[in-house]
Amino acid sequence: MNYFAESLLAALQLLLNLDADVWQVIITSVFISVTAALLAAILAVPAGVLMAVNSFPGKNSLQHLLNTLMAMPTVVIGLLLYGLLSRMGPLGEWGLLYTPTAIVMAQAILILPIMMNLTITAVNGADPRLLPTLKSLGADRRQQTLQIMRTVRLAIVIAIITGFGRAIGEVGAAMMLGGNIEGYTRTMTTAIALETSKGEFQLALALGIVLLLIAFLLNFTLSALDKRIR
Amino acid sequence: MSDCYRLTGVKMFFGAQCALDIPALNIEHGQTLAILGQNGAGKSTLLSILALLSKPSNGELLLFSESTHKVTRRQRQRIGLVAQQPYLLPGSVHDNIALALRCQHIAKSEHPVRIEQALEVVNLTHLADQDAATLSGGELKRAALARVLAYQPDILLLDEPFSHLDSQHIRQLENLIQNLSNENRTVIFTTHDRMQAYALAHRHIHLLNGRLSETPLLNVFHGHFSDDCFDTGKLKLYANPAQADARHIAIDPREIIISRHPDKDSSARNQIQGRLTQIAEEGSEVRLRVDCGEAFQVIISPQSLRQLQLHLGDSLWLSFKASAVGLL
Repeated sequence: MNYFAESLLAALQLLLNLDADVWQVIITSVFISVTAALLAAILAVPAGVLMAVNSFPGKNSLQHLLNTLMAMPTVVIGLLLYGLLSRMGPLGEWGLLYTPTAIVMAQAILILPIMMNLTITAVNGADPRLLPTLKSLGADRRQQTLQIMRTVRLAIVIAIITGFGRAIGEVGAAMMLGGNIEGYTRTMTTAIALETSKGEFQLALALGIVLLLIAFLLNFTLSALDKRIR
Repeated sequence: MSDCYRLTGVKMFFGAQCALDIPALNIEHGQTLAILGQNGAGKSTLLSILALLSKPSNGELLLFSESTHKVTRRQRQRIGLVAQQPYLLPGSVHDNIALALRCQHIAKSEHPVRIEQALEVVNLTHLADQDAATLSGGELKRAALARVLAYQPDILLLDEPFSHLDSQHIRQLENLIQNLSNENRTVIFTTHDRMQAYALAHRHIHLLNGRLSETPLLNVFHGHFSDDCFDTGKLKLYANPAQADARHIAIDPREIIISRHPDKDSSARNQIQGRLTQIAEEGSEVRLRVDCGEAFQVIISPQSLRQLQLHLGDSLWLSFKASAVGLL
């Protein structure tokens, strides 16, 4: 108990003293996950709207696939991307393995189905008269998509925040594709794993506190937005 | 004058149920058409097809002689629909009209004038900046109408336009429909109110269980054909057996002649005796209800009422031709 209390105290000191190493990891981690969330949102939100409002052959199968991908283990994504990006892989020439870009790609792939599914749910939950109204007013496909996104914008923000939350807490793919290189690809989750194994419990705990704070902040924002929707 | 709509063999199925079955219907451009019918008769389904929002399960719909198989932007621009319960997008009334003008690719410089004029027509200028979510039912309907009027479509489709409106705005809308008709625009509206339909529209069509009839749906009886007669269970009526699968008939109340005695020399094959149970003034006409086993509605002129000196309880004869019996 004494060990834990002392470590906690040291962790808080690290944070309050604005320890450069700690903040470097936090900034890298947030930067990578924000980039991944935005990248995924650019693809997932319009795709989700289009999938929700259109009927096409194979829609049900695609929905099942999305549901399955939502539960895909991060190490599997890491494994697949590792195979693609490693020197021997088809995309090896790009030289992306052990770079922040590789982690961004993995996190974006991880959260894309989540954001897409949440967008589909948001659009399906919108007033059923919305689409016929837009069609009858002569809105083209682009205008329809933009107006639907505008109408369900709060739910879309929730989808993006949820995706970001999933990305920043992910460890498997970040470890496999980033390599945990200090000052470059070391994220909060990979640093926690490494520092704990090294016995640097204080640093790991400090980063754990930041992750918890981020999770708390995200949940607080989500519930505030959720209340506004209702 | 050319037809704006031409429907051929149009059917609409929801699952196995046929919600609409229109073998043929042409609607002349510039005409005001009223679609009458009970709830669930298929009025909104028909409007949705005419608005190019739903594709019929079978059949063809031509808009100004052009196929609507693949709806073009130009075709959408010619039609304005105000739904029974219109939906306004988040934002003000002004924002909603501006959105419609943007969707219709109308030059931005024209927006202020068009928005102002449309709001003036529906008497909503004072609510231009009000949040659409805070409007009352009637205001919402008028705002939706302004949104459509702003882009000046050739065809205006109005689903139950008079519901939720107070008497002042009903009169205003009636005048508007008449003005649009004078501007050679087609107005098609659905209503339950027969008198309003007759007062406003050049032409009236009636829907019953998705089937079309130009006969007013007043004397509607359910039954089936046996031999040459349509058997309602209480009465057997002569009707044209061309459509032997018909399950309903409707008899135009103006096609029924009433007399004190049976007319043996008449060509009317249907002659039924009944008892006068109701006399009601309806606009410039008189509506009678005669109980002949089935209750018949008959419309006569006030002069005929005076001439026949009718009183409640009188025994009367109703006569009408087999061709006056509409099949549905």
